Amino acid sequence: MREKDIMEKMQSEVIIPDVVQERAELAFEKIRKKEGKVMKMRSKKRRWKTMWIAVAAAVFVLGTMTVCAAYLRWSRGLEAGFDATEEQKQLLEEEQYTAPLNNESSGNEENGNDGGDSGNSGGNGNSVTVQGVTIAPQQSIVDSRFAWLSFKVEGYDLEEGKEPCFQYTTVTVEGDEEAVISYYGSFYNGIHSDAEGRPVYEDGSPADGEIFVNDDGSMEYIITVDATQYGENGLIGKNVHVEFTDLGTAYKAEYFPDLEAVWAFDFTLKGSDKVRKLNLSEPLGDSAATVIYAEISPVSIYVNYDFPMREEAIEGIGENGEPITSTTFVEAPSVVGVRLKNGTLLPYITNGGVEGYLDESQEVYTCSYALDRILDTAQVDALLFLKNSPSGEGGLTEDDLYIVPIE
Amino acid sequence: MDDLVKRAQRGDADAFTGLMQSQMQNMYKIARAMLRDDEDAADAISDTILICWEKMGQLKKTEFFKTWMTRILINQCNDILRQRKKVYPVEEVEEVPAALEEYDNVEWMETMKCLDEKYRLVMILYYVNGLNTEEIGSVLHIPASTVRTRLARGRSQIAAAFCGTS
Repeated sequence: MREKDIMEKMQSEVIIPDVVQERAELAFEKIRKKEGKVMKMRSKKRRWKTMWIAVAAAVFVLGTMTVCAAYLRWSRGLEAGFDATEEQKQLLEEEQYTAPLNNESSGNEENGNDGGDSGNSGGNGNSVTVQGVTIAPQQSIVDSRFAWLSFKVEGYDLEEGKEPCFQYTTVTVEGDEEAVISYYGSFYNGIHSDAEGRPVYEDGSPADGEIFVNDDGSMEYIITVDATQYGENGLIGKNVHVEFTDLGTAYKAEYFPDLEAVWAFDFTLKGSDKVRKLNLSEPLGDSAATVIYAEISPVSIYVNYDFPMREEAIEGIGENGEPITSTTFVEAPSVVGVRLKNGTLLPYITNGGVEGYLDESQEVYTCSYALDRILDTAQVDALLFLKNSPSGEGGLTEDDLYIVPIE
Repeated sequence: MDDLVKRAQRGDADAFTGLMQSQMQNMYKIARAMLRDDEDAADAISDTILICWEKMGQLKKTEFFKTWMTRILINQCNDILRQRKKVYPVEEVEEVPAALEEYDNVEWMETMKCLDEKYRLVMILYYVNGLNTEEIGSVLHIPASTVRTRLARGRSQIAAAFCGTS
Protein backbone atom coordinates (compact mmCIF):
# COMPACT_ATOMS: atom_id res chain seq x y z
CA MET A 1 0.00 0.00 0.00
CA ARG A 2 1.43 3.38 -0.91
CA GLU A 3 2.22 6.06 1.63
CA LYS A 4 -0.22 8.31 -0.21
CA ASP A 5 -3.03 5.81 0.31
CA ILE A 6 -2.27 5.55 4.01
CA MET A 7 -2.23 9.32 4.30
CA GLU A 8 -5.60 9.58 2.55
CA LYS A 9 -7.16 7.09 4.93
CA MET A 10 -5.74 8.80 8.00
CA GLN A 11 -6.66 12.28 6.80
CA SER A 12 -10.17 11.45 5.67
CA GLU A 13 -12.60 13.97 7.07
CA VAL A 14 -14.87 12.79 9.86
CA ILE A 15 -18.20 14.16 11.04
CA ILE A 16 -17.79 15.79 14.43
CA PRO A 17 -20.55 14.30 16.61
CA ASP A 18 -23.16 16.67 17.99
CA VAL A 19 -22.18 15.95 21.58
CA VAL A 20 -18.59 17.01 20.87
CA GLN A 21 -19.53 20.17 19.00
CA GLU A 22 -22.14 21.15 21.59
CA ARG A 23 -19.77 20.74 24.50
CA ALA A 24 -17.13 22.73 22.63
CA GLU A 25 -19.66 25.51 22.05
CA LEU A 26 -20.38 25.57 25.79
CA ALA A 27 -16.69 26.06 26.43
CA PHE A 28 -16.49 28.90 23.89
CA GLU A 29 -19.53 30.52 25.47
CA LYS A 30 -17.94 30.31 28.89
CA ILE A 31 -14.83 31.98 27.53
CA ARG A 32 -16.78 34.80 25.90
CA LYS A 33 -18.69 35.48 29.11
CA LYS A 34 -15.51 35.67 31.14
CA GLU A 35 -13.54 37.49 28.44
CA GLY A 36 -13.48 40.86 30.18
CA LYS A 37 -12.13 39.61 33.48
CA VAL A 38 -9.84 37.01 32.03
CA MET A 39 -8.32 39.43 29.54
CA LYS A 40 -7.53 41.97 32.20
CA MET A 41 -5.60 39.48 34.27
CA ARG A 42 -4.16 37.06 31.79
CA SER A 43 -3.45 38.82 28.54
CA LYS A 44 0.23 39.45 28.09
CA LYS A 45 -0.06 41.43 24.88
CA ARG A 46 -2.52 44.24 24.46
CA ARG A 47 -3.09 46.05 21.21
CA TRP A 48 -4.62 49.47 21.25
CA LYS A 49 -6.81 50.94 18.57
CA THR A 50 -7.32 54.26 20.33
CA MET A 51 -4.87 56.29 22.36
CA TRP A 52 -5.83 55.25 25.84
CA ILE A 53 -6.51 52.04 27.67
CA ALA A 54 -8.26 52.36 31.04
CA VAL A 55 -6.43 49.98 33.33
CA ALA A 56 -5.62 50.17 37.02
CA ALA A 57 -2.09 51.40 37.62
CA ALA A 58 0.55 50.19 40.05
CA VAL A 59 3.05 51.98 42.21
CA PHE A 60 6.28 50.48 43.38
CA VAL A 61 8.37 51.84 46.17
CA LEU A 62 12.02 51.36 46.66
CA GLY A 63 12.61 54.51 48.59
CA THR A 64 13.53 53.69 52.13
CA MET A 65 15.86 50.81 51.89
CA THR A 66 19.61 51.21 51.79
CA VAL A 67 20.96 48.41 49.72
CA CYS A 68 24.32 47.23 48.63
CA ALA A 69 23.13 46.71 45.06
CA ALA A 70 25.77 44.24 44.00
CA TYR A 71 24.52 41.75 46.53
CA LEU A 72 20.80 41.85 45.85
CA ARG A 73 19.22 38.49 46.41
CA TRP A 74 17.32 37.81 43.21
CA SER A 75 13.93 36.18 43.26
CA ARG A 76 13.89 32.73 41.76
CA GLY A 77 11.21 33.58 39.23
CA LEU A 78 12.89 36.73 37.95
CA GLU A 79 16.29 35.08 37.75
CA ALA A 80 14.87 32.13 35.80
CA GLY A 81 12.47 34.25 33.75
CA PHE A 82 15.34 36.37 32.48
CA ASP A 83 17.77 33.44 32.45
CA ALA A 84 20.10 35.82 34.22
CA THR A 85 23.80 35.08 34.58
CA GLU A 86 25.76 36.52 37.49
CA GLU A 87 27.25 39.05 35.10
CA GLN A 88 23.84 40.12 33.85
CA LYS A 89 22.45 40.38 37.37
CA GLN A 90 25.34 42.59 38.30
CA LEU A 91 24.74 44.72 35.20
CA LEU A 92 21.14 45.42 36.20
CA GLU A 93 22.13 46.11 39.79
CA GLU A 94 24.94 48.47 38.93
CA GLU A 95 22.80 50.33 36.41
CA GLN A 96 20.02 50.51 39.03
CA TYR A 97 17.35 48.78 36.98
CA THR A 98 16.70 46.41 39.85
CA ALA A 99 16.39 46.79 43.60
CA PRO A 100 14.56 45.23 46.57
CA LEU A 101 10.90 46.12 46.90
CA ASN A 102 10.03 47.95 50.07
CA ASN A 103 6.49 48.30 51.29
CA GLU A 104 5.68 51.82 52.52
CA SER A 105 2.06 51.05 53.32
CA SER A 106 0.71 52.29 56.63
CA GLY A 107 -2.24 49.91 56.24
CA ASN A 108 -0.89 47.58 58.90
CA GLU A 109 -1.35 50.15 61.63
CA GLU A 110 -4.65 51.52 60.37
CA ASN A 111 -6.41 48.18 59.99
CA GLY A 112 -4.84 46.56 62.97
CA ASN A 113 -5.45 43.04 64.17
CA ASP A 114 -9.16 43.26 64.10
CA GLY A 115 -9.62 39.58 63.54
CA GLY A 116 -11.55 40.34 60.39
CA ASP A 117 -11.30 38.35 57.24
CA SER A 118 -9.83 41.09 55.13
CA GLY A 119 -7.44 43.95 55.36
CA ASN A 120 -3.85 44.05 56.40
CA SER A 121 -3.76 42.57 59.85
CA GLY A 122 -0.17 41.72 60.45
CA GLY A 123 3.32 41.59 59.09
CA ASN A 124 6.79 42.80 59.76
CA GLY A 125 6.47 46.19 58.13
CA ASN A 126 7.43 45.00 54.67
CA SER A 127 5.34 41.87 54.43
CA VAL A 128 1.62 41.57 55.05
CA THR A 129 -0.03 38.62 56.80
CA VAL A 130 -3.73 37.91 56.55
CA GLN A 131 -5.39 34.64 57.50
CA GLY A 132 -2.02 33.03 57.98
CA VAL A 133 -0.80 33.85 54.48
CA THR A 134 2.18 36.19 54.33
CA ILE A 135 3.01 38.12 51.20
CA ALA A 136 6.38 39.82 51.11
CA PRO A 137 7.57 42.11 48.31
CA GLN A 138 10.92 40.87 47.05
CA GLN A 139 12.39 42.60 44.06
CA SER A 140 11.60 44.91 41.19
CA ILE A 141 13.12 45.44 37.76
CA VAL A 142 12.14 48.71 36.13
CA ASP A 143 13.08 50.55 32.97
CA SER A 144 11.34 53.45 31.26
CA ARG A 145 8.59 51.28 29.75
CA PHE A 146 8.17 48.09 31.78
CA ALA A 147 8.28 46.95 35.39
CA TRP A 148 8.47 43.55 37.01
CA LEU A 149 7.52 43.04 40.63
CA SER A 150 8.14 39.87 42.58
CA PHE A 151 6.31 38.83 45.76
CA LYS A 152 6.92 35.86 48.03
CA VAL A 153 3.78 34.08 49.24
CA GLU A 154 4.04 31.88 52.31
CA GLY A 155 1.62 30.00 54.48
CA TYR A 156 -0.82 28.82 51.82
CA ASP A 157 -1.30 25.09 51.67
CA LEU A 158 -1.68 24.44 47.96
CA GLU A 159 -3.33 21.17 47.10
CA GLU A 160 -1.17 19.04 44.82
CA GLY A 161 -1.93 19.42 41.15
CA LYS A 162 -3.72 22.73 41.64
CA GLU A 163 -2.75 26.15 40.32
CA PRO A 164 -2.83 29.03 42.82
CA CYS A 165 -4.60 32.21 41.84
CA PHE A 166 -5.64 35.54 43.33
CA GLN A 167 -9.15 36.41 42.35
CA TYR A 168 -8.11 39.99 41.70
CA THR A 169 -4.82 41.78 41.43
CA THR A 170 -5.04 45.55 41.07
CA VAL A 171 -2.27 48.01 40.38
CA THR A 172 -2.76 51.76 40.66
CA VAL A 173 -0.27 54.51 39.77
CA GLU A 174 -0.26 57.84 41.63
CA GLY A 175 -3.77 57.06 42.84
CA ASP A 176 -5.11 57.30 39.31
CA GLU A 177 -7.26 54.35 38.37
CA GLU A 178 -7.47 55.66 34.79
CA ALA A 179 -3.70 55.65 34.34
CA VAL A 180 -2.76 54.10 31.04
CA ILE A 181 -0.93 50.93 31.94
CA SER A 182 -1.58 47.26 31.42
CA TYR A 183 -0.37 44.47 33.63
CA TYR A 184 -0.31 40.74 33.97
CA GLY A 185 0.27 38.69 37.11
CA SER A 186 0.73 35.01 37.78
CA PHE A 187 2.30 32.59 40.18
CA TYR A 188 5.71 31.43 39.02
CA ASN A 189 5.39 27.85 37.79
CA GLY A 190 9.03 26.85 37.52
CA ILE A 191 8.94 26.99 33.71
CA HIS A 192 10.74 29.40 31.42
CA SER A 193 11.88 29.39 27.81
CA ASP A 194 15.24 28.21 26.54
CA ALA A 195 17.18 29.88 23.73
CA GLU A 196 14.90 28.19 21.17
CA GLY A 197 11.75 29.35 22.93
CA ARG A 198 10.85 25.89 24.21
CA PRO A 199 9.48 25.44 27.77
CA VAL A 200 12.10 24.10 30.18
CA TYR A 201 12.66 23.90 33.92
CA GLU A 202 15.42 25.91 35.60
CA ASP A 203 17.85 23.02 35.14
CA GLY A 204 17.19 23.07 31.39
CA SER A 205 15.21 19.84 31.26
CA PRO A 206 12.00 19.85 29.16
CA ALA A 207 9.10 21.11 31.20
CA ASP A 208 6.09 18.90 31.62
CA GLY A 209 3.90 20.13 34.43
CA GLU A 210 3.88 23.27 36.53
CA ILE A 211 5.68 23.52 39.87
CA PHE A 212 4.35 26.37 42.00
CA VAL A 213 5.69 25.47 45.44
CA ASN A 214 9.35 25.93 46.29
CA ASP A 215 11.30 23.53 48.50
CA ASP A 216 10.69 25.81 51.48
CA GLY A 217 6.92 25.72 50.88
CA SER A 218 6.69 29.27 49.57
CA MET A 219 5.40 30.43 46.22
CA GLU A 220 6.25 33.44 44.10
CA TYR A 221 3.94 35.88 42.34
CA ILE A 222 5.24 38.12 39.60
CA ILE A 223 3.47 41.13 38.12
CA THR A 224 4.63 42.53 34.78
CA VAL A 225 3.52 46.06 34.01
CA ASP A 226 3.57 47.65 30.58
CA ALA A 227 3.84 51.41 31.06
CA THR A 228 4.66 52.20 27.41
CA GLN A 229 1.75 54.62 27.18
CA TYR A 230 2.02 56.03 30.68
CA GLY A 231 4.44 58.75 29.79
CA GLU A 232 8.07 59.66 29.76
CA ASN A 233 10.15 57.41 31.98
CA GLY A 234 7.23 55.13 32.67
CA LEU A 235 6.81 54.22 36.32
CA ILE A 236 10.22 55.33 37.57
CA GLY A 237 9.75 57.47 40.68
CA LYS A 238 5.99 56.92 40.69
CA ASN A 239 3.84 55.89 43.67
CA VAL A 240 2.27 52.49 43.10
CA HIS A 241 -0.43 50.72 45.07
CA VAL A 242 -0.81 46.95 44.69
CA GLU A 243 -3.66 44.90 46.10
CA PHE A 244 -4.22 41.16 46.05
CA THR A 245 -7.80 40.11 46.76
CA ASP A 246 -8.81 36.60 47.75
CA LEU A 247 -6.62 33.57 47.22
CA GLY A 248 -7.73 30.28 45.73
CA THR A 249 -7.03 28.12 42.72
CA ALA A 250 -7.69 28.28 39.01
CA TYR A 251 -8.68 25.49 36.67
CA LYS A 252 -10.05 25.53 33.16
CA ALA A 253 -10.43 29.30 33.06
CA GLU A 254 -12.39 29.31 36.31
CA TYR A 255 -11.47 30.64 39.75
CA PHE A 256 -12.18 28.48 42.79
CA PRO A 257 -12.22 30.53 46.03
CA ASP A 258 -10.49 29.51 49.22
CA LEU A 259 -9.38 32.48 51.34
CA GLU A 260 -11.19 35.80 51.49
CA ALA A 261 -8.62 38.45 52.25
CA VAL A 262 -6.91 41.57 50.96
CA TRP A 263 -3.17 42.18 51.01
CA ALA A 264 -2.20 45.78 50.17
CA PHE A 265 1.13 47.41 49.45
CA ASP A 266 2.47 50.84 48.56
CA PHE A 267 5.75 51.48 46.83
CA THR A 268 7.70 54.24 45.17
CA LEU A 269 9.38 52.73 42.19
CA LYS A 270 13.06 53.14 41.45
CA GLY A 271 14.61 52.09 38.19
CA SER A 272 16.73 53.28 35.31
CA ASP A 273 15.73 55.21 32.21
CA LYS A 274 19.01 54.47 30.44
CA VAL A 275 18.39 53.28 26.90
CA ARG A 276 20.37 53.03 23.70
CA LYS A 277 18.60 55.37 21.28
CA LEU A 278 18.76 54.78 17.55
CA ASN A 279 17.63 57.07 14.76
CA LEU A 280 17.11 54.94 11.67
CA SER A 281 15.62 54.97 8.21
CA GLU A 282 15.46 51.33 7.19
CA PRO A 283 12.69 50.00 4.94
CA LEU A 284 11.63 46.43 5.71
CA GLY A 285 11.60 44.78 2.31
CA ASP A 286 8.30 45.13 0.53
CA SER A 287 6.27 45.38 3.72
CA ALA A 288 5.67 49.16 3.25
CA ALA A 289 7.11 49.70 6.74
CA THR A 290 10.24 51.73 7.45
CA VAL A 291 11.92 51.57 10.84
CA ILE A 292 12.61 55.14 11.93
CA TYR A 293 13.50 54.97 15.61
CA ALA A 294 14.36 52.43 18.27
CA GLU A 295 15.28 52.28 21.94
CA ILE A 296 16.96 49.28 23.53
CA SER A 297 17.25 48.78 27.26
CA PRO A 298 18.64 45.60 28.84
CA VAL A 299 15.06 44.39 29.36
CA SER A 300 12.90 45.91 26.61
CA ILE A 301 12.81 47.07 23.00
CA TYR A 302 10.80 49.96 21.58
CA VAL A 303 10.52 50.62 17.83
CA ASN A 304 8.72 53.23 15.73
CA TYR A 305 7.89 52.65 12.08
CA ASP A 306 6.67 54.87 9.29
CA PHE A 307 3.73 52.68 8.29
CA PRO A 308 0.53 54.42 7.15
CA MET A 309 -2.50 52.53 8.31
CA ARG A 310 -4.24 50.06 6.02
CA GLU A 311 -7.32 48.10 7.00
CA GLU A 312 -7.91 44.43 6.38
CA ALA A 313 -10.93 42.16 6.84
CA ILE A 314 -10.64 39.29 9.26
CA GLU A 315 -12.95 36.27 9.12
CA GLY A 316 -14.09 34.98 12.47
CA ILE A 317 -16.88 33.22 14.29
CA GLY A 318 -19.61 35.09 16.11
CA GLU A 319 -21.29 34.34 19.39
CA ASN A 320 -23.78 31.98 17.79
CA GLY A 321 -21.18 30.21 15.73
CA GLU A 322 -22.02 32.12 12.59
CA PRO A 323 -19.20 33.40 10.39
CA ILE A 324 -18.52 37.10 10.83
CA THR A 325 -16.18 39.60 9.26
CA SER A 326 -14.43 42.28 11.26
CA THR A 327 -11.97 44.98 10.28
CA THR A 328 -8.55 45.51 11.75
CA PHE A 329 -5.36 47.22 10.63
CA VAL A 330 -2.51 45.52 8.84
CA GLU A 331 0.36 44.92 11.21
CA ALA A 332 3.91 45.98 10.55
CA PRO A 333 6.60 43.30 10.84
CA SER A 334 7.09 42.86 14.57
CA VAL A 335 10.45 43.26 16.21
CA VAL A 336 11.34 39.81 17.52
CA GLY A 337 14.96 40.02 18.58
CA VAL A 338 18.49 41.20 17.99
CA ARG A 339 21.79 40.18 16.46
CA LEU A 340 24.92 40.54 18.54
CA LYS A 341 28.29 41.78 17.35
CA ASN A 342 29.66 38.24 17.50
CA GLY A 343 27.07 37.20 14.91
CA THR A 344 24.71 35.44 17.31
CA LEU A 345 21.07 35.72 16.30
CA LEU A 346 18.58 36.00 19.17
CA PRO A 347 15.23 35.86 17.38
CA TYR A 348 12.97 34.73 20.22
CA ILE A 349 13.46 37.25 22.95
CA THR A 350 10.31 39.38 23.06
CA ASN A 351 7.94 38.52 25.88
CA GLY A 352 4.76 40.55 25.95
CA GLY A 353 4.02 44.14 25.12
CA VAL A 354 1.95 46.22 22.78
CA GLU A 355 1.97 47.24 19.16
CA GLY A 356 -0.17 49.57 17.11
CA TYR A 357 -0.58 53.25 16.25
CA LEU A 358 0.75 55.77 18.69
CA ASP A 359 -1.55 58.63 17.87
CA GLU A 360 -4.63 59.48 15.92
CA SER A 361 -2.70 60.36 12.78
CA GLN A 362 -2.10 56.62 12.45
CA GLU A 363 1.10 57.24 10.54
CA VAL A 364 3.61 56.05 13.14
CA TYR A 365 3.37 52.39 14.14
CA THR A 366 4.95 51.30 17.41
CA CYS A 367 6.17 48.01 18.85
CA SER A 368 7.06 48.00 22.52
CA TYR A 369 8.08 44.66 23.95
CA ALA A 370 9.57 43.36 27.16
CA LEU A 371 12.37 40.86 26.77
CA ASP A 372 12.81 37.42 28.25
CA ARG A 373 16.51 37.92 28.87
CA ILE A 374 18.97 40.63 29.83
CA LEU A 375 20.83 42.29 26.99
CA ASP A 376 24.14 44.07 27.00
CA THR A 377 22.85 46.77 24.69
CA ALA A 378 26.36 47.74 23.60
CA GLN A 379 26.74 44.29 22.03
CA VAL A 380 23.67 44.63 19.80
CA ASP A 381 24.50 45.38 16.15
CA ALA A 382 21.17 44.68 14.43
CA LEU A 383 17.45 44.44 15.14
CA LEU A 384 15.45 41.47 13.86
CA PHE A 385 11.93 41.80 12.45
CA LEU A 386 9.61 38.97 11.48
CA LYS A 387 9.21 38.48 7.73
CA ASN A 388 7.80 34.95 7.64
CA SER A 389 6.47 32.69 10.33
CA PRO A 390 8.44 29.45 10.21
CA SER A 391 6.57 26.33 9.13
CA GLY A 392 6.46 23.60 11.75
CA GLU A 393 8.76 23.99 14.70
CA GLY A 394 12.03 24.44 12.82
CA GLY A 395 12.60 27.87 14.26
CA LEU A 396 13.32 31.20 12.64
CA THR A 397 16.21 31.47 10.20
CA GLU A 398 17.69 34.53 8.55
CA ASP A 399 15.38 33.95 5.59
CA ASP A 400 12.41 34.53 7.90
CA LEU A 401 13.74 37.85 9.15
CA TYR A 402 14.36 41.41 8.12
CA ILE A 403 17.75 42.26 9.64
CA VAL A 404 18.30 45.95 10.31
CA PRO A 405 21.90 46.87 11.14
CA ILE A 406 22.23 49.58 13.73
CA GLU A 407 25.94 50.24 13.47
CA MET B 1 -3.18 30.04 11.77
CA ASP B 2 -0.24 32.04 13.06
CA ASP B 3 -2.31 35.22 12.98
CA LEU B 4 -5.15 33.56 14.89
CA VAL B 5 -2.72 32.34 17.55
CA LYS B 6 -1.26 35.83 18.00
CA ARG B 7 -4.69 37.40 18.23
CA ALA B 8 -5.86 34.71 20.64
CA GLN B 9 -2.83 35.41 22.82
CA ARG B 10 -3.98 39.02 22.98
CA GLY B 11 -7.28 37.89 24.41
CA ASP B 12 -9.35 37.87 21.22
CA ALA B 13 -12.02 35.29 22.03
CA ASP B 14 -13.30 35.20 18.45
CA ALA B 15 -9.84 34.45 17.11
CA PHE B 16 -9.40 31.76 19.75
CA THR B 17 -12.74 30.19 18.81
CA GLY B 18 -11.78 30.16 15.14
CA LEU B 19 -8.40 28.70 16.02
CA MET B 20 -9.80 25.84 18.06
CA GLN B 21 -12.58 25.16 15.54
CA SER B 22 -9.88 24.78 12.89
CA GLN B 23 -8.30 22.07 15.05
CA MET B 24 -11.52 20.21 15.82
CA GLN B 25 -10.87 17.37 13.32
CA ASN B 26 -7.41 16.79 14.79
CA MET B 27 -8.63 16.96 18.36
CA TYR B 28 -11.56 14.63 17.75
CA LYS B 29 -9.42 12.02 16.02
CA ILE B 30 -6.87 12.04 18.85
CA ALA B 31 -9.47 11.95 21.60
CA ARG B 32 -11.50 9.28 19.88
CA ALA B 33 -8.42 7.14 19.36
CA MET B 34 -7.59 7.30 23.06
CA LEU B 35 -11.03 7.26 24.62
CA ARG B 36 -13.25 5.25 22.27
CA ASP B 37 -16.37 7.08 23.41
CA ASP B 38 -17.82 10.32 22.03
CA GLU B 39 -18.98 11.48 25.49
CA ASP B 40 -15.49 11.21 26.94
CA ALA B 41 -14.00 12.74 23.80
CA ALA B 42 -16.40 15.68 24.20
CA ASP B 43 -15.25 16.17 27.80
CA ALA B 44 -11.58 15.99 26.88
CA ILE B 45 -11.96 18.45 24.01
CA SER B 46 -14.00 20.99 25.96
CA ASP B 47 -11.53 20.82 28.86
CA THR B 48 -8.68 21.28 26.40
CA ILE B 49 -10.36 24.36 24.96
CA LEU B 50 -10.69 25.94 28.40
CA ILE B 51 -7.14 25.11 29.44
CA CYS B 52 -5.69 26.41 26.18
CA TRP B 53 -7.55 29.69 26.67
CA GLU B 54 -6.32 29.97 30.24
CA LYS B 55 -2.73 29.22 29.28
CA MET B 56 -2.49 31.02 25.95
CA GLY B 57 -0.30 33.66 27.48
CA GLN B 58 2.26 31.04 28.37
CA LEU B 59 2.70 29.95 24.76
CA LYS B 60 5.68 31.96 23.72
CA LYS B 61 6.12 30.87 20.13
CA THR B 62 3.10 30.65 17.88
CA GLU B 63 4.67 27.92 15.77
CA PHE B 64 4.54 25.60 18.78
CA PHE B 65 0.78 25.91 19.11
CA LYS B 66 -0.26 22.55 17.59
CA THR B 67 2.20 20.53 19.61
CA TRP B 68 1.33 22.44 22.76
CA MET B 69 -2.40 21.98 22.25
CA THR B 70 -1.94 18.30 21.44
CA ARG B 71 0.02 17.75 24.63
CA ILE B 72 -2.77 19.33 26.67
CA LEU B 73 -5.41 17.21 24.94
CA ILE B 74 -3.51 13.97 25.50
CA ASN B 75 -3.08 14.86 29.18
CA GLN B 76 -6.83 15.45 29.45
CA CYS B 77 -7.56 12.12 27.79
CA ASN B 78 -5.19 10.36 30.18
CA ASP B 79 -6.89 12.08 33.12
CA ILE B 80 -10.26 10.78 31.95
CA LEU B 81 -8.88 7.30 31.46
CA ARG B 82 -7.47 7.35 34.98
CA GLN B 83 -10.72 8.60 36.42
CA ARG B 84 -12.88 6.13 34.65
CA LYS B 85 -10.32 3.30 34.78
CA LYS B 86 -11.57 2.06 31.48
CA VAL B 87 -9.46 -0.07 29.23
CA TYR B 88 -10.55 -0.93 25.75
CA PRO B 89 -8.60 -3.88 24.48
CA VAL B 90 -8.78 -4.01 20.73
CA GLU B 91 -10.48 -7.39 20.87
CA GLU B 92 -13.43 -5.97 22.82
CA VAL B 93 -14.31 -3.20 20.36
CA GLU B 94 -17.66 -3.88 18.81
CA GLU B 95 -18.07 -4.13 15.11
CA VAL B 96 -19.49 -0.87 13.78
CA PRO B 97 -22.95 -1.57 12.41
CA ALA B 98 -23.59 0.09 9.07
CA ALA B 99 -26.99 1.32 10.22
CA LEU B 100 -25.54 3.70 12.80
CA GLU B 101 -26.12 7.43 12.47
CA GLU B 102 -22.35 7.78 12.37
CA TYR B 103 -22.33 6.08 9.00
CA ASP B 104 -20.10 8.82 7.62
CA ASN B 105 -17.36 7.94 10.11
CA VAL B 106 -17.49 4.21 9.50
CA GLU B 107 -14.46 4.19 7.23
CA TRP B 108 -12.43 6.18 9.73
CA MET B 109 -13.50 3.90 12.58
CA GLU B 110 -12.60 0.86 10.51
CA THR B 111 -9.17 2.33 9.85
CA MET B 112 -8.64 2.88 13.54
CA LYS B 113 -9.87 -0.58 14.39
CA CYS B 114 -7.25 -2.22 12.25
CA LEU B 115 -4.50 -0.50 14.25
CA ASP B 116 -3.21 -1.75 17.57
CA GLU B 117 -3.89 0.75 20.32
CA LYS B 118 -0.25 1.71 20.78
CA TYR B 119 0.19 2.46 17.08
CA ARG B 120 -3.03 4.40 16.70
CA LEU B 121 -2.02 7.61 18.42
CA VAL B 122 1.39 7.73 16.77
CA MET B 123 -0.20 7.30 13.35
CA ILE B 124 -2.70 10.08 14.04
CA LEU B 125 -0.09 12.49 15.31
CA TYR B 126 2.05 11.81 12.25
CA TYR B 127 -0.51 11.69 9.45
CA VAL B 128 -3.26 13.89 10.84
CA ASN B 129 -1.46 16.43 13.02
CA GLY B 130 1.62 16.55 10.81
CA LEU B 131 4.10 16.23 13.68
CA ASN B 132 7.51 14.77 12.94
CA THR B 133 8.95 11.83 14.85
CA GLU B 134 10.92 14.05 17.24
CA GLU B 135 7.85 16.10 18.06
CA ILE B 136 5.73 12.97 18.56
CA GLY B 137 8.40 11.58 20.86
CA SER B 138 8.36 14.74 22.97
CA VAL B 139 4.56 14.73 23.20
CA LEU B 140 4.29 11.06 24.14
CA HIS B 141 7.53 10.91 26.16
CA ILE B 142 8.95 8.09 24.07
CA PRO B 143 12.15 7.92 22.01
CA ALA B 144 11.96 8.99 18.38
CA SER B 145 13.22 5.54 17.42
CA THR B 146 10.18 4.02 19.11
CA VAL B 147 7.98 6.43 17.19
CA ARG B 148 9.52 5.32 13.92
CA THR B 149 9.04 1.66 14.81
CA ARG B 150 5.39 2.17 15.69
CA LEU B 151 4.80 4.10 12.49
CA ALA B 152 6.29 1.31 10.45
CA ARG B 153 4.16 -1.29 12.18
CA GLY B 154 1.06 0.88 11.95
CA ARG B 155 1.54 1.25 8.20
CA SER B 156 1.92 -2.50 7.90
CA GLN B 157 -1.30 -3.10 9.77
CA ILE B 158 -3.28 -0.71 7.60
CA ALA B 159 -1.80 -2.17 4.43
CA ALA B 160 -2.56 -5.69 5.61
CA ALA B 161 -6.13 -4.78 6.51
CA PHE B 162 -6.97 -2.97 3.29
CA CYS B 163 -4.78 -4.61 0.74
CA GLY B 164 -3.89 -7.92 2.25
CA THR B 165 -0.23 -6.86 1.91
CA SER B 166 2.34 -5.08 4.10
